[in-house]
Parts: sequence; structure tokens; C-alpha cells
Amino acid sequence: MIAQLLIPVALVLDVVGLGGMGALRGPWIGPGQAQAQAQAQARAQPIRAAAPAPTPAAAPDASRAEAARVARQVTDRAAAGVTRLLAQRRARQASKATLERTYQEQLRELDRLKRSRASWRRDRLVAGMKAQSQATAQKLSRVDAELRVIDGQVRAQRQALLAAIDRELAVASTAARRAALQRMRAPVAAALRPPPRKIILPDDSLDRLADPEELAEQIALIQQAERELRRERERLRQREERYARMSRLRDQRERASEMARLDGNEVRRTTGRPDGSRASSEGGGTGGVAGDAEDGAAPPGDPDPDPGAGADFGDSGGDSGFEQSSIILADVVDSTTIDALRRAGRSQSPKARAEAAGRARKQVESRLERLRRSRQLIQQHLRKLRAR
Amino acid sequence: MRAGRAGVAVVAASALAALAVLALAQPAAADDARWTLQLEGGAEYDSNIHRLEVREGDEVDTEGAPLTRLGARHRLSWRRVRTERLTLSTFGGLKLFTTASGQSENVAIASLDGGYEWNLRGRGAILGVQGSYYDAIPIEVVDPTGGLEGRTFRTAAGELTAAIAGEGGQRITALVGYRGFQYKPDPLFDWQGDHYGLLFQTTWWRGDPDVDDDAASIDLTAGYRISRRGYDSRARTSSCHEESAADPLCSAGTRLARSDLHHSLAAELVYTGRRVYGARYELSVNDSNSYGESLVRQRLHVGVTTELLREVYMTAEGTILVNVYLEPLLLARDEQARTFVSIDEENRNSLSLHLSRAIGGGWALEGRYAIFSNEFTNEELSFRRQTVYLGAIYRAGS
Repeated sequence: MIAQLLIPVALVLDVVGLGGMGALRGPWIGPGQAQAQAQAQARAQPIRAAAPAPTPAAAPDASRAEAARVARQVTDRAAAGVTRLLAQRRARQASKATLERTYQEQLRELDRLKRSRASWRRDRLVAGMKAQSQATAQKLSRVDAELRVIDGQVRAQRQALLAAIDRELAVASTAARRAALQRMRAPVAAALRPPPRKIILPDDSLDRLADPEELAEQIALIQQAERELRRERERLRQREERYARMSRLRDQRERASEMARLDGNEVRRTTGRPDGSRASSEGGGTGGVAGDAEDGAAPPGDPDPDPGAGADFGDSGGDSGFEQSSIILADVVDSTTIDALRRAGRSQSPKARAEAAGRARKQVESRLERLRRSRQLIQQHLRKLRAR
Repeated sequence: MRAGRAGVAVVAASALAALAVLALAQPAAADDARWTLQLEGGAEYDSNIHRLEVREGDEVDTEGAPLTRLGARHRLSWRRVRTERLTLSTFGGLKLFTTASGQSENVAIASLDGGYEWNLRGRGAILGVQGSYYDAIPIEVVDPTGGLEGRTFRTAAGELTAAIAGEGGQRITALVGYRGFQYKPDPLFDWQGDHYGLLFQTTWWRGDPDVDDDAASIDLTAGYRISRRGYDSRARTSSCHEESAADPLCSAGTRLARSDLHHSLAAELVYTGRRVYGARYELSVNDSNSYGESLVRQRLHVGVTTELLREVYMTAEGTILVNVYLEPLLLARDEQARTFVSIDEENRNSLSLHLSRAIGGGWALEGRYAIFSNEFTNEELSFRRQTVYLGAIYRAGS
């Protein structure tokens, strides 16, 4: 049972490139070997689902169980392909890091040589070092190219995996497998989303000497920024509402627990002790089973008056949407809000997340209002220009 | 009257301490200090104020009485620098019964918890030191002839912790500490000793909020703790041939000091989405060298919190607690403790319903109903207790 639960978890970790399971399974690959391997593997095609999609309609003669079994094989094969490609990518990244270090050392050495006293020997050493650093730079370029190829393959393989998961979800017979597939799907889908881009805010000041064409272009840019900001505001509003609701629910739950702690539900009874003691062995007093009340695992979700601090104290692994918002809104909100968004993303406190989302949303709304006014002013000026 | 004044003094002292800590902390680092203050008060009716069991064949009337609950809580978190966090929480509470016979059940609670955490950046570890103190104080002289002695206690603990945080949100905490326990009615049950624990926390599953507005998460916490408890009393042994004999004379003293080894294992799953569902299981094993003191305790707690309508929140909780005594537990059948009944196991179950609604300005109204019983085991003894509470709560904070 535990093994069944752990397998999908390991696969998910591998698929999103966090687990390092692939690196753990195989022998360690040195930079040289990795380079040779990657050159060969970069040419290889991503592993695709070999079998056609096994749906009940496509396989009328097969039983549902058989369809589910085949679909599972396809999913597992696609997941293994992603895992293998990610292992290759990690090897290339390690190789790249090594080359970068070497390149930096060579540049430093070159700089040192150039600053030393001029001589024939120095010139010869400088020339040699230049050649070495150029060779390292070329290797780095090759590794970068290989990484780009692998990234493309990883993307294609993830798309294949996502399709395989969706197909298997349609035929999966057990709830446990469906849950495992859903767990596997979320990080794959997240990895396939396009990377967030910073919203570029156009110049919103009115240039009274500008041509109508320039003003029209400026208005179009402002409208584009407004659209992007409205989209981001909606995302923040959804997050704010969601996490505020979670926070309220957790507060209520904690409050109910607080009240229960004062119940003092221990029975008053006397035990048959010849020494006259009338207390039972349970301890006693108000507040639960005394002496044992604080043992064992403390319940999670104790209200933290400083929820934002959680990010610095290990409450990581949170909502990546906050990290994306911090990138998208880098030029829109102030630096403390960017910091709050990043911390909220790593925090597990719904309250911290709701507060950060709310703070950012208000600043986005303020910026939207400013852009709207500027746009109206420019549009007004443009109408006047065109009316002349 | 005197009891009332003492209780109010405890609550007032707690609130003042909270305000003092707040006043001291805020000027130091207004941006880095977070605090909450919570004041609560209300009226409750308790149908069995002495928590009496009714034995089969006995005609014992359980007594009900109204009471007042008051409380003040304060929590403070202060970060001197980003990698350090100081936390402090205090609580002062009071239960005051209005009837004369309920005076023996009056109790005040004072508790203080503090901790300091230091994040070792780049090493993925968090070191901490924490301490706690909890005191249940009787605020009326106990009537010694009533056989209903207060069961108040105080306990204090200090711990060192080391936590490792994983990138996926996992956190493993190891702790070592020392704890003392004083059972006020009987010093024979006082103990102190060291304890060691391991705690694992993770978000086991999380939905994608970009895809699903109702994306939920499941948090898992599991822990084990072992503690040595050295008592200020001698261990007892069974002196009868038949160990299960229901006779207190079968328990004889020894020259050995009583020493218990207490194991505690707990796991909790919390689902947070449109509703919060929680399930917690605890297993405790008390292995004692004293006859009649070993037991196995299992506790299962489940609960759900949801919004009913118009911001009215409901929390429904149920608990089943089963104690299995490894040697028979003797219970006196009469006031003079001349006849006894022995039990091998018993349970304590409870169901509670808590309703709350915010009314603005930091205020909220709340009501609670709870029923306690020993429904599933021990047919010889019957226990019933019901409580109904109605009160208000005020929250403020930064």
C-alpha cells in the first residue's frame, strides 16, 4: 500500500524536476561522460506514447480493466521518458555549471596576466589563456544548445504525458489510481504553462507636442497594459478570496479547539488505594488529560500571529502563482509588496497569502486607475488635435 | 465572592500582561512585530458539574449548574532580523460557577508559551528553544468531606528543537526537553523527566489554484515522543496471588521509586478547501513499574468546519477516547471506599457543535453545545454530561 502511494509521488517529483530520483537511481555521470551522452541523446526523439489512445470506444472488444491496464502502461512509459530527459538535463546543467566556473577562472587569470608587467612571456601566456577561454566559451555554447534541445524534448514529452494521463483518467477503474493521476497531472500541467512575463508599463504622460499617430500608439499601449493588469487583478482577487476563506475556516476550527481545552472532561472518581490517595492515575485538572496533553504531535494549523514569517522558517512548497505574480508585477507594485508576494508563495499560512494578494490587488487597482485617467486625458487631447 | 474577585484578577492580569508585552514590543520594531489580542466571555450551563459517573443500581443525582467563562489570550511574534523569530503567547481563563456546590469546580487557568527560532540560512536548518508553563488554579477552598477534590495541576517544560525544512514544504523537527508536573491534590503523582520527540509536517497534496478556484490542500502531521517520568513516590506491586482481584489490599508498596516510560504517537490529516475536515489519531502507552498504573490510550478526533450561511460558521467535532488498563483499575463504590469495582477499559466520547458569527468591529457571537459520554465500553458505569454555551469574543491585532 505504501509502495503504491510512493510510486506516483516519486514519479511526480521526477516529472517536475524536483525529486532528483533519476540521479539517485543511476550512477553518477561525470561532465565528460555527460557531454558525450547528451550529444547522442540530443539527437534522440522524445519518447511518445507508442500505443494508440486506449479508450472504450477505440477498443470495443477489450474490457475496461484491460483498457485501464494498457493506459497505465502508456502513462508510466511517458512518465519514465520525462524522468529520463530530466536526468539528462540535470547532467547537462551540472556540466554547464562546471564549464562556467572554469570560464570565470580563466577570465580572472587572463585579467591578472594582462595587468602584469609586459614581456614576451606574458604575451605568450595571454595568447594561450585567450585560446583556452575561447574553447571553454565554445563548449558552453554547445552545452547551451544541447540544453535548448533537451528543453524542447522535455516539453514534448510532458505534453505526451499529459495526454496519456488524461486518457487514463477516462478509463481508470480505481479511485486510488485516479487520485494518483490527478496528483501527477497538476505539476506536469504547471510545468507546461508559459513562463510569466513582466507587465511593461508604457509612458502615460501626455506629450502635447506629439503627433496624433504617436498619441494613438501610446493609447494602444496603455490599453494593452490595462488589459494585462485587469487579468492579473482578477487572479489576485481570486486568490485573496480563496485564502481569506481558508483563513476564516481555520480560525473557526482553532476557536472550537480552544473552547474544548477548557472542558475538563475528566471523571471525578476515587480509586482503591490503601494509602488514602483519591486520585486516579490519569492526572487531572482542567484542560484535558493532564500530563499527556502536550505529548505527541502538536496539531497543525496553530494560529500564527506572524504568518508572513513562515516563509523564512521552513513553510515552503506553497502556491507558485505568487512567485509568478511577483514577476508579472515587478514594475507595477512596490518592492515590499513584491517581497510579500514571494514570501506568501512559500508560506503555508492562508492569512499571509490573502493579505499579500489583497495588498498587491489594491496597488494594481490604483495603477489601473492612474492609467485610465492618463488614457482619457490623452484621448481627449487626440480628439482635439483631430478636430482642428 | 472572593473567588470571583480572584478569577477576575487572573483574567485582568493576563490582559494587562498581554498589553504590556505589546507596548514593549511595538516601539522596538513596529513593522516586525505582529500581535493578536482576544477577549472572550459568556455563560454556560453544565449538566454534570462534578463529572460523576452513575454506577449500575445506584441512584445518584448528577448536579447541573450555570457558570461564567472568561478568558484573555495574547499572541506576539517578533522578528528582530529576518532569520530570527521570537514568539510569545499567554492565556488567562476562568470558570466560575454560580451555585454553592459548584464552588469546588471553580478554576482559573494561566499559561505562558514562548519560543525563539533561528534559521540557519544556506544550511536548511532551523534551531529553536521553547518553554511553556500551564497552571490550573483552584479559586475556592475544596470541601474535603465531599470527596470531590479539585484536580488542578501545574506543569512547565523547556525544549531545544532542530528542524530541517525541505523544498517541498516538508519539515522534520527533532526535540529534546525536560518537563515537570505537579498534581496539586496529591504530591504522590508529581513527576519530572526528560523527553525526546520527532515531528514530521508536510502538505501531502495541493490542488492548483490557477486551474480550480476551489483548489484544496491536505496537510499531514505525524509525531512520536517518548518521555521518562520519575515520580515522587514508590512503585507498588501486586501482593495477591490472583492479580485481577478487586481488592485494594492487593497493592503493596516497594522500595523502588515509581518510574514511567510514556510513549506517544500521533498523526493528523487536515483537508482545507471549501470546508475544513480534520482527523487526528493518538496512541499513548504508559509503561509503569508501579502496579495499576500502566495503560494504553487511543484517541480519535474528527471534525469539520464550514460556513453555513450569511457568515455563520459551524464546527462539528467528535472524539472517541479509549483507555485500556493493563492491570485492573479499582474504583470505590462508596464514599468510605470499602467496596470496589474493577474495570479493564473505559472510554470518553464527546460530540460538540460550535457556531460563530462576526458582528463587526472585531466582535463575534458564538454558541456551543457539547455532549460527553462513555457510550461504547464499560456497562457498569454510565457517564453523561452536556454543556450549552453562549458568549461573545473580541479580537484585535496587527
